[in-house]
Amino acid sequence: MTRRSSTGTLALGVAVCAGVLACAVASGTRSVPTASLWRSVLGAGDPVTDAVVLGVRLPRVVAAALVGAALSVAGALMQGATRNPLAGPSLAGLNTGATLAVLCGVLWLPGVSATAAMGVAFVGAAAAAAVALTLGAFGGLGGPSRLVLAGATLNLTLGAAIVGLVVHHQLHMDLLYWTTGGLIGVTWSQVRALAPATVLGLGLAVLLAPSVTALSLGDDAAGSLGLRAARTRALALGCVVLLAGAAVAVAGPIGFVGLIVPHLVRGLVGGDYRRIVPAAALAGATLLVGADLGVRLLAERVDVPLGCVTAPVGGAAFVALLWRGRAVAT
Amino acid sequence: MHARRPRTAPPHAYDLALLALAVAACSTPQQAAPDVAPPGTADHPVEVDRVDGGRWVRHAGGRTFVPDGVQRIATVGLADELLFIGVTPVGEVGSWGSRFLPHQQPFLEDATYLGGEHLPHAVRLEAVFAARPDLIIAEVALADTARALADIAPTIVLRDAETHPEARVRDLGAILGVEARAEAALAWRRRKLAAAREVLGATLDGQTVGVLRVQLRRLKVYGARWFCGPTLYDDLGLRPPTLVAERVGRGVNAWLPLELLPDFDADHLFLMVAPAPGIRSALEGVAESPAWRLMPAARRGDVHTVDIHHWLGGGVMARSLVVDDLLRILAPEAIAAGRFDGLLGPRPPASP
Repeated sequence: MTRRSSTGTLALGVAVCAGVLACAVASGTRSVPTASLWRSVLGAGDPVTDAVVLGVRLPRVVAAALVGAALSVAGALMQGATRNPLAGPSLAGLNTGATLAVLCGVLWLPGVSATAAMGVAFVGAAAAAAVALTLGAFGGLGGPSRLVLAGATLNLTLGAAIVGLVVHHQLHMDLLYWTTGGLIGVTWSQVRALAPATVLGLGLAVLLAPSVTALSLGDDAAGSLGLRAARTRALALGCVVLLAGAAVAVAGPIGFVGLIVPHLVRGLVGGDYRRIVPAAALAGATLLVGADLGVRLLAERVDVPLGCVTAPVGGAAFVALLWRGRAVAT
Repeated sequence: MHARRPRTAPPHAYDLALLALAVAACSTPQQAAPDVAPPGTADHPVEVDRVDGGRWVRHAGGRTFVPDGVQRIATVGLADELLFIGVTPVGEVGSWGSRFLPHQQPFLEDATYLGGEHLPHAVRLEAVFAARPDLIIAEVALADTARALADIAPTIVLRDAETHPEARVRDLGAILGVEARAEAALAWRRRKLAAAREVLGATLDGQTVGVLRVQLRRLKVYGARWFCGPTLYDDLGLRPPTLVAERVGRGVNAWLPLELLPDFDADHLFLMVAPAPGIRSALEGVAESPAWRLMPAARRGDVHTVDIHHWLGGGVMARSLVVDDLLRILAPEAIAAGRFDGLLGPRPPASP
């Protein structure tokens, strides 16, 4: 793909993302006339419209965009750094690890703030990543599916621990929604905690992108370009933990976004991570804002968790990737 | 979780199938046609035939002989109604953790915990057996559970205690031969409700009263038919907010999007906040939303946190305590004036 065409694709992505964001802010349970909406956005709205648009919808839309971008870029970096097309924060167990950590934080650190919850999520995601990658990518046996198997094992084990804690503490209805992922009720304070970590993670990803491109060609090729593969891989995985932990701390576990989006954008902008990273951020933000909008519009009376939508869609896409054999070629 | 599953909530298909199996398994051929509610459900009382040495009781689970002088009565889900007429069960299932509902706890110090009531197989049959009951009175939807209980001791199945509390209290009086005590307790309840209805009606003068439950990331609005709803809107005749009918209808509860908070036209808002980790923080998060601050009740500073255990309890004693909460919050001067002397508390003060 030429630089010119990929720039055009990115510009188109920006336009689509902006359109979906605008639709998401304009749509919701309560009908808000377009004129009132604009007045609110321009700072001259009535109190109710301001409260709905600026106080309820906007933080949710911004959070969806940040979480989608974070998970997608985390997945892209993970796939590039480990040279594993099946790598992703959810399949590798990072999301579940962060979820368990946040749950433990909620249980044993009452009144935990959004920022503190994020720190706890980082620890959980980092621990899960370490275990999954030790068992999988660096195990020396098997192919890409080894990481998936390690992640599946982690997901099952940590998932059982989550269910056990929820049942033991009789939290079924109170925590069930959180453990399935979603963005209902996201507040500006959560966005304020999420944004710096996500922006930092995305910035690091952009900086690391050329090295990840070299790494995706193999350690030997990266070494011939003067790259220290282990150091680059560690930095990339640290970035993955930062992005996935931040996303899970706010939205809970949202499956498959980090796995599928990088594959989709790779088909559009090619295999250069300098283009994949921004494209994945845009596509992930667009996808999650759109999915959340769909949940809000389609399930006006039933609060369907976002994870219940992304998981089957992502699962189907995952199966399609496997079926077509595209996942093999990063 | 709810303190008690809606006892007559529209069952899921699975429950319906099991219920049909229960009726088929427990009914005698002489029983009424399937479209007629069996004794011990809705407003159909149990049918009691006195004979030498005891009484035969026709109930929701069939026909059972109850010998005279039963002392050890275990229950599944009807402790409120038994305690209300002064009968202390030897065992009951629990909610909200490993033990009984807080308002039942003082009366059940020596009772055996029989398990949880929410999962289909949560009743611990070993614990029921260990409680050595002479009689089991259970509100169970599952035929398997009822049959298993009947293998331990004579078991009577009652239903719909939440929607027909007075009918079930009368049933218990008839089953246990304490009809006069049951009627006296119900008379106390009616006096209390009548007085509360009068006082609250005058105090509120048509203002609306709503109930929300705070959960992680979401709010649920509760309707008029279940849990505290019948007490507020039927027993006491309070006015629900418009959104209750619009969103909940005849259901149990409904999710209330934050966008609709400015429209939640409750003049007085009661918040059920579970003692679960993170819920207080969740409430603080919701309360920081501008939409929350636009609610009429929030603008008036008329938002009150109440004990979720009895507001979601659904039993006759829990409902009595909901009335007490309303009076203490909305009409404290009436209590101070002695208007409710002898009428406060979960059950009649003279209960043995």
